[in-house]
Parts: sequence; C-alpha cells; structure tokens
Amino acid sequence: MPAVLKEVIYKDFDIRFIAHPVTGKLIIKKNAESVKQALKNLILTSFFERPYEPIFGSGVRNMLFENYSAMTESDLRRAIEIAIDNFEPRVQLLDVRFGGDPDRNMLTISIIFRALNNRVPVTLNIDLQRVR
Amino acid sequence: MAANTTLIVAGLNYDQIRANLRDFIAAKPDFTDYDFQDSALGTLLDLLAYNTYYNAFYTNMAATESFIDTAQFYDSVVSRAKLVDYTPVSARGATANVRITYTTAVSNSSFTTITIAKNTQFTSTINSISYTFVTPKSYVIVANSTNGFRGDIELTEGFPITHRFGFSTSNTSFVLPNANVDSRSISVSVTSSGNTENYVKIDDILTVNSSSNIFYLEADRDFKYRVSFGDNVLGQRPPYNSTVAISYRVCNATRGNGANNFTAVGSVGGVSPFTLKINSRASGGADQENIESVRFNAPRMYETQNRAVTTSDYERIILRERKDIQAVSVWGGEDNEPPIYGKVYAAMKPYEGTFVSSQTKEQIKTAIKKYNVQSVDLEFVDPTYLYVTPTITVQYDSTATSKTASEIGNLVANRVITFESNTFDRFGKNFYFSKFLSFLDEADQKGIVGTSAVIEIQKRFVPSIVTRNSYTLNYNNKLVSNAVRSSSFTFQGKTAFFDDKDGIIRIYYVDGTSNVYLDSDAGTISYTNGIIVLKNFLPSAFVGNSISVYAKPVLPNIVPLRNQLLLLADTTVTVTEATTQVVSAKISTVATQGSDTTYETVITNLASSY
Repeated sequence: MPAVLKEVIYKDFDIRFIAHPVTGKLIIKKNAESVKQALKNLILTSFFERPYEPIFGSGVRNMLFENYSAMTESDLRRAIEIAIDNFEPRVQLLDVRFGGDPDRNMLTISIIFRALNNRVPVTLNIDLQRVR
Repeated sequence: MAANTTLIVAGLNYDQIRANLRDFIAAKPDFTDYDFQDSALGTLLDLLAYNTYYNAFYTNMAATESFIDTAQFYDSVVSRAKLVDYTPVSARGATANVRITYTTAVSNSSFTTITIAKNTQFTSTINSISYTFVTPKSYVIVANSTNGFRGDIELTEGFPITHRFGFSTSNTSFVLPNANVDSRSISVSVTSSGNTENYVKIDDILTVNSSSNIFYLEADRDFKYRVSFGDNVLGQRPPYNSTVAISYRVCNATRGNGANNFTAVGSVGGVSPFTLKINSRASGGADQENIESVRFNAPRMYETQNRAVTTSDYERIILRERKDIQAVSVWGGEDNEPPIYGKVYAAMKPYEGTFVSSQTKEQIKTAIKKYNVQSVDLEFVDPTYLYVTPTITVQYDSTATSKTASEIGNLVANRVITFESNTFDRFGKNFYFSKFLSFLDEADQKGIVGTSAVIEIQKRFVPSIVTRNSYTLNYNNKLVSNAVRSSSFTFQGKTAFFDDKDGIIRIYYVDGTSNVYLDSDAGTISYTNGIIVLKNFLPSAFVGNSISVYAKPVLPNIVPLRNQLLLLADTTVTVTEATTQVVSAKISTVATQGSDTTYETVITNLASSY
C-alpha cells in the first residue's frame, strides 16, 4: 500500500485582527495567503525592531532614503534574498522585480515565490512609500 | 506524543518564556505557523513573551526593593530603615575650635561680658575656595582680670538658612529642600497668634506626652529630610494656620576639613578689635551616610534600642555620632588590667592622624550620656600602636620576568603598604604571617619564586630625660628570650642600647667588638605575657622622637590587645636572584604608616594605657 503523505497546511490569523463578517470570528489565513502575510511582515521589519531578536527583518525600510539607482535595486534584492533564506523556510524564491516611481517617492517590490506545500507561483507586491 | 496543554511558568528569561508559550500554542490545533518568526502568530508570541518578561522583571525589581538586604535604591533602603526607626546620619560641617581675644576691650562695672550670637559668620579659604563657618550656638565671653576678654569658641562650617511654612490641615510635615543639611543644626519654632514656641528634636518617644513641644526628623526621598510633628498624643500638634520656621545649616561635608584660617564677616559680639588663634583646625566634616552604611547600621541600631549597654552598643553609637572616627574598640572595666568596675573604656582611631582630640572626646561623652546606664562612666584611652617590623627577602627568577630586581622590590614595597592599609584599619585586626607572604607573592606571580620574612614587634616610648620613671611596654604576644634590641639612647654618657638575658633587661654600650653593660638590671621581661617593664630609667638623650624597643615573637602571627592597633614599620625588602642568591636590590625603609614619627608614652602607673 503506498504511503500517504499528510497534507501540510500553513494556518495563521489575519494580522489586522479583522472579524469574519458572517461568523464574527477572527479571520484565518491559510497556505499561500498565510505565507504572503508572513513574508510582507518579514520584509517590512527593520533590524533591531523586535526585542531580543535584533537580526530579524530585512533592512529594506532603511533604504528608503537612498538615491534611487540600479545599485539600489541590487541591494534590495540581496536584502530580500537574505531575509527569506534566514527566516522563511516555506518559500522558494523565484524572482524579485522592482517598479520604481521616483517622482512619487515610491517603489513597488514584486516578490514571486512558490510556497513549499503548493507548486503554484505566487506574487507578493509591496509598496515602499514614504509616509510623510 | 502527549500534547503540552499546560503553560509552564518556570522560565525567567525571554527565550524560555517564548519557548513555553510556543509549546502551549503548538498543542492547539487552531494555528500551525507558530514555528515561523515572521508569521502573525510569531509576532504575537514575541509580544506576549516580551510583555511577560517585562512584568517578571518589574516584579523582581519591586520585590528586590522591598527588603533592606537587596534594595538598590537609596530611597528604598531608607524607607526600610524607617521601619526600625533609623534616620540616616546627615552630612556634617567641619568644626574648628578657636580662641578669640579682644585685644583692647577693657572691662568695667557695667561691661563684664561680650555675647557672641549664634550663627556669627566667619570665612575660611581652602584650596582657593571660600567656606562659611558660623558659631553653632551663642557664647558669652566673661572678662578675666588676667586675660581680659578671652574665650574659646567653636566654628562650624555651613551656611545658615531659615524656611517658613504654613501649618494647615493639608500641610503638616515639611521637606527641607536642600541637600547637605547638617541635621545637628535644625531648630524649629512655631508662631501662632503672635506667640512663638520652640520645638525640640526627639529621638525616642519614652518621655513624650501630648503637650510636649517636639518635632520628628525623618529621611525623605532624594537624600532630603522631613520635619513632622506630634498628633496631640505623641507630641503637641502646632495650631493650624500657624507659621513654622525651620532653621538649619547647609554644609559642604568633608570639604571644610582642615580649615585653619578664619576671618570674621562682620562684627563679632559687637566689639573690636580681636584676634583669633586656632586651638584645633576644622575636622569632623563628613558626607551624608551612604546606602551601604544605612543598610549595615539600621538593623544594628535597632539591636541597641537607643541604649548603651553592651560594648558593641557603645561602638555603634560612637560610630554613628562621629563620622570622623575610623575605628572604635570598647571594653568593660572588668576586663581591664587591673579591673576597674563601673567604667567602660573606649579607644578610638580617627581617619586623620592617630589620636582623637580632647574636644572630640568630650563631645562623644556628652552624646553618649543620653544612652548609657546610670553610674557607668565612659573613659577614653588613646590607642597604642604595636609595630610589626618585617624583614622581607624576595627570591626572584630573572629569566621568568621582564622586570628588574628593583622593579620587583618596588612592587613588593607597594604591596606591603596596601596590606597595611587594607588590614589594619580596625581594632582587633590580627597580623597573619602566611596571609602576608602570599599577598606579597602576588606582586609579580611570574618573577617571584618565593618570599620569606623575619618578624619582630616594636614598641616606642618617650622617656623623660629629667626624672627617673618606670615604663611598661606591652607586646601582648609571647616573646623569644634573649632577642630584645633597641634604638640608641645616651645613658651615663655613652651611646647605649637595651638587650635581655633570662628575663632581665640590661643596658649596654659597644666598645670595639664587645658589649659593656652599664646596668645589668634595668628592668624585667615576661616572655609569656609579652611585657617589658623598665625601672627607674633616666637617659640623658635619645635619637629621634622616641626609643624603639624590638622583641621577637614566638609565633609570627601577631595579636593586638584591646586598644592596640597594628602598623607596619621599619620594613626592609631585599630582592635576591633565586639561582645565585646574589642580592640584586634592596629597599631599606618602606613608607608604611608605622614608619612616621608617631610615638607613645607608656608609664607603669597608668594601667589603662596598655
């Protein structure tokens, strides 16, 4: 009898703490959605932001005030790759793309990855924009 | 595998707390992302762990500050000390004693006294900084047919200040807003309906009733003091809407010590001119009691219950009253030699110098009268010094160290000085030979192969060169026979020395290579008790300030007697190369405290001067 692999489910709650409109319970995020939320959390966390875990994060926010150039994209890509390598074992990174909009002081990062429990590529878009 | 459904609360550090929370969540089927730090669940775990850790730390700190043994903040220790009715000793201004002489004032039938008011100001300059000294009380100088208007007055460092507060239902105690308040100077008066009454500070409530005009002084936050009043049961409460005037001095603590030049700021007693002569320069200035001192003293003062009964009660009270005293030794008259009942003896060593002034002794005697048992008198005995004179030989290996022999000699000499200051700062501290040698070895652990020393003990005395006297020198340790030697003195026209032979002290001079005895029975020596008695001794001169008499102890560990303090003196350090035994360096006199010219006079008929 062939072995049956147990299905791996990634299950997390919605970090926005939004209640389900029908049940009123906390919204659950599963699989790719859960991983996307975690990845966004990781990329937008700066080093030394979390108590007692100084190396958690990506340092991407710190580059907001750099002059935008091809080197900036290279640095960002490297920072994201390192963060995923260190803290997100569920992700197989496929590509990182950048859509710069310097006139609006904005940068869109598209992270294309595959969660390990699913073969379908997923894209996570993160907008880096100064707040004020 | 059984799921962990119980939250373990044993962890104290952040990682343990987070791991326990993670195990707790892992046992629930609702979420699965607890292992990933970037998940929402991971963030929540971080937050919970941090919050738990924060609370644990806070609770630990709160508990720590709740006990006098472990509290870290001064305010916490003082607060705990209040529970045993202990008030930290305030800063104290230095006090000098001066003789004021009105040079031209002449008394007549209507002019017989000059009154110098309390807080009459003087200034004194120390290291280019001017300090204010005031009279702590008023003095009345009475004219004398011999000396005219002349008297001794005290001047205490500190600037007098008066605060006025309104006493009301909501304002019944008052914090003195200045640091370095000299609490001895606090005086309180209450004015109500044009009538002013003085209130006095009270230390215990045994004699207080509902009509006593008293105030309480207690420590407040930030090194300050608070004045409060009775509640019409334990002391009279001032009338509401009255005015409370609190006067005190703000002092500069230790910085006023040593002042010895004073200039009056204005009139002194309304009469001039006058001269000032220093009887004793300013001393006794001390900082406010520090946290470790409060921690140490509070429970012990509680033991004494404000009563001087046991010897340690006396010691504790004297150290509390006088912060310029470094060490105290107290013993009952029954332990004296010979026993003198009804007396308590105290020997004190000040921080500065070797003897306590008679003025300080009188002040202590007055202070202690409040506490001691009736009919028991306190007598002061000056400390006597027993000098330990080590002759040190250090063997060193020149191939194991880059230091030269003289450098090693200097290092060892410095260790000797450190050993003396660390070890002999209190009465009752013994000299232990092995500890001494191992302390010296640490001067250079690579280069020094071994250290040895020959120990002698020395007493000094100042003989009269006018009258014959007997002198008792108490070494308090068993002595080796036939090993006494001394510094030189002139006796019967010869440069003479002491030695001993079978219990008899002899005086001799050196003629060529042989000793010629001038007195074969100059005194006795008890080898068992360690006492030399010189009989009817009359030298015509001696070298230096005193005569030193050396004896060799049976054991190299030296034990001082009640009022004896040990010091190191005449220490020599010889450094030799270990392989060749060649002397490579020598330091003939190490500058220990005992090397200075401190001396003492010991006469047989004063038993207490042992």
